This record gives sequence, structure tokens and C-alpha cells, in this order.
Amino acid sequence: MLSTSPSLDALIAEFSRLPGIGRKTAQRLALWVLKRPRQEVEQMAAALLQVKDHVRTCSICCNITEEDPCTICTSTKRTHSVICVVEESNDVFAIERSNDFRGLYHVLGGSLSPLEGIGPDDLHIRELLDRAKEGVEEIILAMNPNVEGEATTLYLSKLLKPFGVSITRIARGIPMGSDLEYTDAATIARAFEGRIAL
Amino acid sequence: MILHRLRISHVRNHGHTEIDCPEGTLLLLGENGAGKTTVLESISLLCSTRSFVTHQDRGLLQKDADAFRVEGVFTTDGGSQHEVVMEYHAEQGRKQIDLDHASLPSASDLIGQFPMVALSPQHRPITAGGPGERRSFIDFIISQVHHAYLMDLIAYRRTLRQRNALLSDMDRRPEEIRTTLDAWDASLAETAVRILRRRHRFIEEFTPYFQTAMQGVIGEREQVALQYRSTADIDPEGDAAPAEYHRLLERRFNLDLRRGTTTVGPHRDDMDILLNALDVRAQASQGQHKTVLIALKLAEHRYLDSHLDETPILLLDDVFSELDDDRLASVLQQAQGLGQTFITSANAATLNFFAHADNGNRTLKIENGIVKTLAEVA
Ligand SMILES: [Zn+2]
Repeated sequence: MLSTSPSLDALIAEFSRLPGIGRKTAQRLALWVLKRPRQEVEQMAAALLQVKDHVRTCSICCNITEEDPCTICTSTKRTHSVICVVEESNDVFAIERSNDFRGLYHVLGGSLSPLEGIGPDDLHIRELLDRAKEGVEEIILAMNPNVEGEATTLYLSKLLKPFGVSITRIARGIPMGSDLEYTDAATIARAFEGRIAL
Repeated sequence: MILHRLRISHVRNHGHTEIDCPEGTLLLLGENGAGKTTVLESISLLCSTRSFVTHQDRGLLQKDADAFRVEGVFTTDGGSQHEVVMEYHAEQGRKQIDLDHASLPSASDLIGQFPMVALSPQHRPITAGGPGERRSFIDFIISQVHHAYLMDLIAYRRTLRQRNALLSDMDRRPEEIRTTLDAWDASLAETAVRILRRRHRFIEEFTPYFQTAMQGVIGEREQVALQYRSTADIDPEGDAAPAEYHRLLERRFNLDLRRGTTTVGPHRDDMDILLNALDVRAQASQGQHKTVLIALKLAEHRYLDSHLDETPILLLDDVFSELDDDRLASVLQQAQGLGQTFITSANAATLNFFAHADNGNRTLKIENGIVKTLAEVA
């Protein structure tokens, strides 16, 4: 239902577009914004624009970053010969929380899914192949444990084979059908220990 | 396992119904359309997440209601108590299931925890209908026993949809098919082989139960057998099976591409039910269909009972109108001692069969979605 204010309606419409936010929640959020002091709302608006202006994709690992290359890719404390391939930036956060992996990452930006029209060209696969050519010893495939992640793992392992790097996948201690993002650190740590050659 | 208490809100013609269930048999009497089957459907929702009458949850909503709710309190054979609550809201269009006050992430998590066997006129297609009916029959049994099988089925269906989406998009994505189909095929092959192994083993294990049940229902005269009919002509046992299956998919590539779909696999398979070496579906009489179906269902109960920690609940919906008195007597005799049983009937004479039954039985009458004891009716 429309309110008596077109500006409020426009804000509700914007909030409704956020993932997991329904119409009712959007209304609540919009009314909350309305009640906050102007300065606070300005901060919020600035933060939104800041993200858009300053955050970009690392040209090496395709993770989100403000400096290019990102702090992980330039770190001297990490093993540069091992790359862990994940679907999304969220997965990097999850694995970093476990503190068990000290190599570099590569963020694909999703997984193969013909149903959603996502093919190899829609993922950062070419960038991964470029890196595989340059002195990498091991590539760990850490896709989400679902059918799309599985197909992507099989596709990448075949694609990477000619480069002569060791290709492993994390063990499937993680329940099928769940997202890596929601898996606890201990489970992820175990999965890394139990990785197997492909 | 015993269902002690059942609460139904806004399912079909039930406004609010609460039933204290006996440990033995609960007989539900009522005219057609009174709401007897709805009680059994509600139990089925709690045990299997689905009604055996419809797969459309929306169709279960009471007229003008926008949500329904079913609650059950179970006691396991080991003596622990569990509460299952299922809610469906039309607006969200999906069910929410709570087990012991914690919401289940997925409906599939409930399968196998509260096992159940249902027999109703809706199950006639198992012996008389298409292959999908028989696949559902065996898939539901195996899924209750092996959760990994259910996970494989779900993954297989998803992988199949992905592969078919790719195949049906040849015009726009020829390059993508060339490069990625192999990965989908390898993935599909792994899951398909695991499903085939389980189904083959299941049929081997299940056949003696079926034979015994058939003898119980009609005597020694007739021989029954089950035969899995695979569209994928490979032996699923052995380490080479996934690779062999993968090659099979490759050989079918041109055909699959023309049809825009996957033409072989567990999703196309069937199971022959043989009565004296003849295919029941094509050649059995009406009476034979009934007895074979009953034997399959009694065998399902015994099989689940011996493979699970819990004794399944038995739901017999309107089976009396389907059977002559002799058959009926032998079915009830078989059902006795199978655990908690819920029976619906439109025929008050059915009570006679319970006249000298053991204690622990109870009869209720249902009119227009309202449940009454016999004392209240009189
Ligand atoms: Zn980087």
C-alpha cells in the first residue's frame, strides 16, 4: 500500500530490493530512517557511496578490496605458491576466520549454473588460468558443497590439469546442501586437513 | 513409535481438531467427505512432510484460511518424547517445520525420524500406473532408512535440471556445452550410480518381505517377484561403474541434445512387479491389484520396522470399501501387532472387526470435520 509521501514510498521500494527483505520489513526500515537525526542518515548515505567508489576487485585474486592488489595478495607472510579457489568473497572471510589457511585466494564470483545462465565466461576463470601459469605449486578447490559447486570443481580440475600443478579439493566433511559461508571454523579446518588429490 | 496427541488447525474441513491417540488402533468412522482422511493426511504431513493425497500444500488449506498448522507429540520406542509442528502460510507458499521447538533448516531433515506407512486408494497407481509411481514407492522407503540416499536423490534431480538446461540451450551456448557438459556428466554419473546401487540392493532385500506378506494376505498359491528395469544398461557395482555410466551419457549425447533432455537414468527407470511370472501392471485382475498393493504396503511396514529403530505408524485409509470380508479379515489380522494403526471407514459394520480386538483400541466418529467419541454421538 502506498503512503502519503512519494519520497517515503521510493525509500521503501529501494529497501524492498535488498536480499531477504520483504515489503513489511522495508517499511519498518524506512520509518526508522525517517526518525534518525539527519547527520546519521548522511553518514549512512556516504557509506553506501563510499563502498561503490572505493571498493573494487583485486586484479590478481578477484576478491573485493580497496587497494589493488589486495592486502592478502601482497602479504609477505603468506605462501604464494598455494591458491585456494572459492566462489564468493564471503567464503574468504569464513576461511580466514579459521586461521588455518596461509596461502592466497582466488574468488570465482559464483559457480556454473546453466539454470541461471551462468557459464565459464561469467566467472573469473581466465584470471585463474593466468595465475596457474606462474609458479603455483598447489591449487585447492573449495567450492560450496552443492551440485553447482561439484560440477565447477570437476570442470576446473580438468581445465587445470595441463598446467602441471597439484590440484586438491577440500574434503566433504561439510554437509551437502549447506553454504561454506555458514559452516563453523572447526569444520572448515578439518576439511582442509583432509583435502584430497584430483 | 507412538503418536500420542494430534492437533489439526485449518486443514481441509477441520477448524480445530484435537485427538488423543491410543497405542493400538484408532478407528475413524464417518461418511465420505466428513474429514476422516484429513486426520490421516495430517499424520502423514508430520511424518513425511507431505500428504499422500496431494503434493500441493495450498490445497490442504481450509476454505478462507490463510494458514494451517498440524502438531504431533510422539514417543519413540526408546521412550523419549518429541514434538513436531508444521505450519503452512499461503503468503509464503512454503512449510515451516519445528522439531522440539527448533526449526528444521530443510523439510528433508524430518524424513526417516518418524517413519510411517500409508495405504489408501491414492496408492493404486503403484501397481497399475506409470513408472514414476513405483519409483516414488521405493524412493520413499529407502529415503527413510538411508538419509544419504535422500540427499543423493535431491542432488541428482538438481544436477539433472542443470544438465537439461544446458542441453536445451544449444543454439545460444554451443561453446559452453562443449566445454562444461563433461563436468555435469561426471557429476551426474557419480550420483546416478550411488542411487542405482541402493535401489538394486533394496529390491534384493525387500523381495523376501514382499513374498512373506503376499503369502499372509492370500495364502501360498501365488509367487511374487520384483525386478528393477534400468534405462542405463550398466552394472552399478564395482569401482568402474561411474566411468562406465559417464561413457554411456557420452554415447547418448546426440540423442539427448536433439530431445533437449536426459533420456536415460534413475529418473526414467521402473520396477516390474511379477505375479506368477506375469507383469502385474499389464496382466493382473482388479482383485490381484488390490492384494498385491496391500502386500507391498505390509512388506513396507515390516521392512522399515526391521531397518529402523522406530516402529512405523500404519495409516489405512478407506481400505474396507475396497475389499471383501475374507481379505479384510486377513489384512486386519496382519495389521494387528504391526504397531500403532489409524484406520478410516465409512462403514459402521467395520466395528465388528474390532469387537474382539485387544485393548488399546479406540473408535471416533467424524462429521463435518468435527471429531466425537461414540458416547458423544449416542
Ligand atoms: Zn588479491
